[in-house]
Amino acid sequence: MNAGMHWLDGRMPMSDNSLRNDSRKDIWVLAEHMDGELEDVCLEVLSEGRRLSKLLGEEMAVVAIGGGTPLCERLRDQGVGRVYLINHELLDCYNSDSYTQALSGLVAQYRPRVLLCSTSQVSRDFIPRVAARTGASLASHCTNIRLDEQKRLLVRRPVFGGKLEATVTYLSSEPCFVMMSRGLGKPDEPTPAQNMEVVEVKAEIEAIRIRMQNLGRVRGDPRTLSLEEAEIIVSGGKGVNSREGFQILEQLADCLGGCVGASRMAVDAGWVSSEKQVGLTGKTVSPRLYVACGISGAVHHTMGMKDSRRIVSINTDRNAPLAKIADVSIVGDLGKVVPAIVDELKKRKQTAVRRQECR
Amino acid sequence: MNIAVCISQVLDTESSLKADDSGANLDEKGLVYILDQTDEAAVEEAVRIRERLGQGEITCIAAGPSRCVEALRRCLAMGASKAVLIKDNGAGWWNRPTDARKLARAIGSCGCDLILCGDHALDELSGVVSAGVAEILGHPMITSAVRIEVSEDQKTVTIHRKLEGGVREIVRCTLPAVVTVDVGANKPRYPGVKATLRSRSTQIEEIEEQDQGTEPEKYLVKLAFPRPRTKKTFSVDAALPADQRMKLLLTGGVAQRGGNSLSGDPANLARKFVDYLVDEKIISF
Repeated sequence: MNAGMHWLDGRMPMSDNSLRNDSRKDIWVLAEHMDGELEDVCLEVLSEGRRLSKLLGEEMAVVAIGGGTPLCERLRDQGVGRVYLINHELLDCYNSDSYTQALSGLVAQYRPRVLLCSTSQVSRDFIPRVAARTGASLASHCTNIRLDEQKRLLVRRPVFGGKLEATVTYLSSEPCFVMMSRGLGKPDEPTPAQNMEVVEVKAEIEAIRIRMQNLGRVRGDPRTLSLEEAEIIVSGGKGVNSREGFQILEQLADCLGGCVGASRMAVDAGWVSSEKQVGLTGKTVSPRLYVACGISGAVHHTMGMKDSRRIVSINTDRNAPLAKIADVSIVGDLGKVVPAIVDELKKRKQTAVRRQECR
Repeated sequence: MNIAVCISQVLDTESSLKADDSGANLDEKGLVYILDQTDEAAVEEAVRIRERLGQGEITCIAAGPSRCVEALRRCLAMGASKAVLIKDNGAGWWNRPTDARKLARAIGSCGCDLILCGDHALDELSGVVSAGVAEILGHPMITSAVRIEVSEDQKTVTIHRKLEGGVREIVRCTLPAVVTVDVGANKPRYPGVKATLRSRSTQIEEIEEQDQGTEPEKYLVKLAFPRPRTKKTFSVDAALPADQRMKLLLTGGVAQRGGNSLSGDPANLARKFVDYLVDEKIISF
């Protein structure tokens, strides 16, 4: 379809009214799912969808791309009355081109009033394309949806780096895509739906318009990850004593495949850059392993890492607050212990490699 | 290889921002504008791709008022070959779908193989511009790229894109394509004095756009200050005796895990530490 050419004239593609099947004013929620289970963030969006549906007096339906019966059961438990199940062999694995085609086709056919989803990395990849293709309005990172006296949508979202909030009133009658922020509060308790209608949609996907191929997933190089993404963090504080002192921590982080963090003391002293700061005024992290080296553990630091699964403290002071909350407290000089750990890790890796070669 | 980079000049969020009397726009006094951080990463990525390929032209395009020339000069200083400004009256930082049309027209006329934009994760416009440009030109779009590798024959590109939890998704796509670059993909170079001076004398092409947004008013926007962001801190139960309350305050109410305390010579401690990690299945060999 020559969507491109229409755009240049100023007319929106796919907003031809003759394509409208019925003037449904539905509220749609995009089901974000994996292996038949709904993502946590999707439960929040469904809760928002139910609330909006009550406010507007319109029905809520769910759109599930590439889902099956187990997913429909989950949705029924969530009180969903109608599910549009879009299936096609080209939708089995996420692909921006095929998902965009599939969802655009459905939106063009039914013209829902609102489409809700989360601002996840997958949604952010293809929902804006669907909005552009179908002429829908789009707002992301939304924190609040209300209605004005004329029952138009009022969407609130942070702008300018969160310094200000914009409340946007959507005036047009085109569909409105609202991508919600996470952490909006606990989802309400849904009542399972008595009846659920499953509309099976055979997506019309032109294979020739699929220009990308998904080659799989890998873990990112720890050196490029941000602290909030890291699974292992080796953190340094006052006990590290100098910028050079952080080098052994970096070596340990490298050996473990983790990232380097720091307490406020180390950042203020200029030993490490500020984006590595963990704590109340820094980042809040929850890695699988947090190794605190030379950190006393004042409240403003522990508040930023207390949810780590396993905490190890290396400190000469056995009574430091952080030593008390650690799973393992190593009492010793980090300048001697950390290099010893690095040596031990290298030694064991070598032995393992040699064992493999002998087989 | 022709690379186009769509850039925008945005407000420096470090400057003090206030809504004006109408409540719909920002108070113009004292506003500082800079090249958007994510767009800077996109320009850096373009320059690195050209360095790796050993050839190519990089054209930076911005749609906005005359002050955007500053941002374009920065791009030239970083290594862009050409800069184009599509002039508009700067009204409505919200009216971006129109920007997508203008940018697409400018790009369409320069025959680009790869179009980069900033990922605009924190921008107000939700990736509307990059998606709009991709749709108008009929190109595929891949977002949140942290690594971009162009194939030898320059016909495909392999991209590592950011997913949640430190995971990366690898996608291969045919060119031409639109790719949005994540702000963490690289550390943009700081142009030296020579480059900056040279950029001052480079001619920036200016296009006067007739299309000033002929769509009917789609949005009404009101700005306000958000309530201060609260961060949960611990507050102690007043019913506890004083010494317990002190202890809790000192540790921030974090549960004492009652962990094993180890001491001894470093080599021994190291062995026990590594054993612990293996037992806890945090690492394996």
